[in-house]
Order: sequence, then C-alpha cells, then structure tokens
Amino acid sequence: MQLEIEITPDELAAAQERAFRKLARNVRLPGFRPGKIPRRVFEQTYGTDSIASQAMEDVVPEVYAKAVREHDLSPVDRPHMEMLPEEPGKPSRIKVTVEVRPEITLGQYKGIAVAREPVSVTGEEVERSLEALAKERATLVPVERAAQLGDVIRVDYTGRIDGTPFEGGTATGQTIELLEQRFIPGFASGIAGMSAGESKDVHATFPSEYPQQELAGKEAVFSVTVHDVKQLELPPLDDAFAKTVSDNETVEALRADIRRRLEAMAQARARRDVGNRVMEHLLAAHDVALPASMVDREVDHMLSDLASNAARAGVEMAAYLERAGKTEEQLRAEYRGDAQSRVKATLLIEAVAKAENIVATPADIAAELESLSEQYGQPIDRIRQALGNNVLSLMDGIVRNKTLEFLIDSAAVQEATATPSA
Amino acid sequence: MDARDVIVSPRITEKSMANAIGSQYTFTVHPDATKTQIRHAIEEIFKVNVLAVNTVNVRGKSRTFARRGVRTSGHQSDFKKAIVTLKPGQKIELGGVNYFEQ
Repeated sequence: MQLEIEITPDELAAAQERAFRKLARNVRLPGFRPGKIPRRVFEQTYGTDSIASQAMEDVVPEVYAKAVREHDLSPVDRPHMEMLPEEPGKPSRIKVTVEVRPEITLGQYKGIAVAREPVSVTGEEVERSLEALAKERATLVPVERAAQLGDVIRVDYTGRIDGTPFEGGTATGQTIELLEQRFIPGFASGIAGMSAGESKDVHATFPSEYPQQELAGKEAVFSVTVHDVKQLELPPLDDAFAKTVSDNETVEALRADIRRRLEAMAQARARRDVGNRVMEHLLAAHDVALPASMVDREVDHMLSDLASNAARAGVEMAAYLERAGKTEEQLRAEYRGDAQSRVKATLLIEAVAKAENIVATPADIAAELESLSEQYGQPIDRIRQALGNNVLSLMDGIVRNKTLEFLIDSAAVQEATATPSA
Repeated sequence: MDARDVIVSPRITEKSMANAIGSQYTFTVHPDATKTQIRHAIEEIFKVNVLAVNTVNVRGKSRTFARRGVRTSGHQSDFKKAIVTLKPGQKIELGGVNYFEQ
C-alpha cells in the first residue's frame, strides 16, 4: 500500500516551532540562559537546517499516524517513508509504503457443512480407565512361580555386545516391571519364564533408531539373575474400591462417572475437530494476499518457539540444527507454508470477528484473568500487573476463542451415523 | 570621533531583547563616548530619532582559573553600555535582519 501524505504549512510551522524549542534547550550562547534564546538569533547563529530536519523527524510520524486514521488503515509493519522532491510553492510531500492488513471479502462462513465423528465411549474404554485406577492402588504380592509379563521382579543383569560390557547395560538388584514395551525388544520376553534364583543369558536387539547411536541395531546378550518375583495384585472392583478412589458409593456409580468424564472429553475433542475442519474449509475457500511481513514475523515466532523448546530440553539451537542437518534458512523455508496458513487463519478469524461484532467484553476479560489467577495461584491484581500491555493480546486471544466458538456453533454439523454407545 | 567608532556593537542578550519591545536598544559603546556623541552616532547610522540615552560603565568581573594546580586570576574587560530610547514605533535593524525583534 502506498500513500502520499502532504504536510500542510501550518503543521510544518508548528512542528518547526516545537523543533526549535527542543533544540534551543541545548544551546549555550553568551547573554542567554539555555532555552531562552530567541528564534531569530538561533537561526542567525546556527542556520535553519537543524530546525528543519528536526521538525521533519517530529512531524512525519504525526502526519503518518493521522493519515492512517483518516484512511482507516491497519498497518502490519513499520512504514517505509521517503521524502518526495520539494517543489517550490507547494507543501512538502512524503511517500509512504507500508503493508496493511488485506481487505478480506468473507465468503460463506456460517453453516459450513462439516462431518463429525459420532461421540461414543465403549464399555471397553470405561473398563480400561477403571483398570488404570485399580493399578494405582495395586499391591505387590510375592509369588512362587516363574515370572510372567506384567510381574514386578528384582534382577541383576550385565549386558554385553560382542563380549564387552557397555555403558548403561549393567545393574544390580534393580526392580523392574516386566513389560515388553518398557525395554528393548527381546529383553522382557526373554526374562519371562525364569523363576527366583535362576540365571540365564537373554538375547535382545537394540532398535535401529535407538537414541544412542553406538548401540542402535546392535545385538546384546544380557546375563540375568532373577532374585524374586512379585505379582501386581489389583484390588477387587467393588463398592469399597469405588469409595476409596472417588466420591461414588458404588462401583456402578463410578463406572457411570468415568463414562461421563470420557464422554465429556470426547465431546470436547469432537468440538475441536469441528473447529479445525471449519478453519480448513475457510482457509481453502478464501484467497488472501498475505502481507509478507506478517508471514515473516510468524516464521520468526515459530523459530523462537522451537529454540526455546530446544533450550528447555537442554539443546542449543545451533546444536539442534546440526543434529537435524539443516540450516536456519532451510528451516525457515519449511516453516513458511505453516506460517502462511496460520497468518491466513488469524486474518480470517479477525475478519469474522469484525463482521459479527465479536469483542472481548469486560466480563470476558475478568473471567480470563480469574482463570489465569487460579492457574498461577496469584491474586488477580498481580496477574493484571504482570500482564501490563499484554492485556491487548489477552483480549485478542479472547476474541479469537469466541470467534472460533461462534464458527463451530454456526457450522452445519452432520453427525456421521451414530453408533449407540455401548 | 566617527559614528562607527562610537558604537562598538549591539548587545544581544535576554535583557536587551526584552527592552527592545519598548523601543529601547542596547549597544556597547566606546568607553570615552558621551551621551551626545552616542545620540548623534545612532541617529546617523540607523536614521532614527533618539529620545534619550542612558549609559552605564560596566566593570568586568575578576575570574579565577585553576589549571594544573596553578591558580591564575584574570579580569574581564570593562566596557561602556548605552541604552538608547527611540521615538515610539521606530526600529533598528542590523544587516537587514531585525535581531532585536523576537
């Protein structure tokens, strides 16, 4: 977007007067206190150039801001400005090039047909959660039999590759839960069948994508001695159990409760799915000229997110790049597509919010602050203080969420034939 | 004494600028110049009518400098200053520029 802005003589004169006062404060001339020097004397002594350039520096952002208001622009980046050559007898003009939020002609966004997976919670899922609950309360009972998968055993083992012990492959008196997926393939199943006091060599192979490269794909032999075998004894799933793990009186009530919770989770997931599909549809249906600066900024964001995630995992960005075998430029290019659809989604959501007059009401903000305060365990005032100017982005987030909810609510959801939840 | 020798220079200071609004202009003048000489000189140079001339002999202040541990004292020059009152409405411009008017 390009604009030509005129600086009116009045604006210029006012700006020059202000510029002069500003400059005069730093001028020391015999006979005058700093800042008290008359303009004419100043100009005679120092010339008018310094006033003119200072005035321009001050007035340009002002007229720019005014032009932005007048034309109702929403710039997304800092403007690039250029003085146009002066023509005698005409007001000064500046050419401004700035990227603005693109005009979006919204197509259909209400009643978008989306399919929705039927929400169903099977009895099996309920039993599985129940079992997980029971497992938390399980007791270990020593048994006089060979170890089975699922038992908890105490073992010594020494792992060797080609006859040499390797790091991390040896332990004494370690208690392990004998589950195949916990260990490298072959280890747990090799131990199963051993009784307390028995010793045996177990063959196991490191998977080829094992994190420690020197071990990946290698076959190892573990000399294992089992000390004792214990069985996980689950508590009986009765009313007493229901009372200990929950507020429910009977195990049936607990089942129903679990089912309700699972259903609520599934509902929420289905709702999110609907939202994602609506957004996918909107993204595909709209063609938006994306401002390059917004996309660039989004890529920057994604990269810095990545860097901070890596840092949290204790990896320097440079090391991460090296491991992935990519340069930052390659990564940027890869992120570009995602960044574009994110920016587009943001713009579309904003457009819908504007079209539907969705705003963050004071009540919304209060609710958001309250939930933040709960989340961080800090009084609301502290949260408000910590947010400072970020309240604006908080409001953006609220508007975004409300708009998404609106889109979901107004979508024409077609339930795929619902199977009766067992 | 020639008019140009009587009048040394205009005094451009905050105070003299303030006085200029009431048609009083201040000049540094030759220390031996009399009020009459000043009146004639001003009238000749600026083509104005002088109503009154007030003069002051300004004594320069003594200044002490401390440089590299050595104290030296100095003295600012004495000078004579003349405040000239013009006929109301008349102005003095220097080199085509009216220094005095704000």
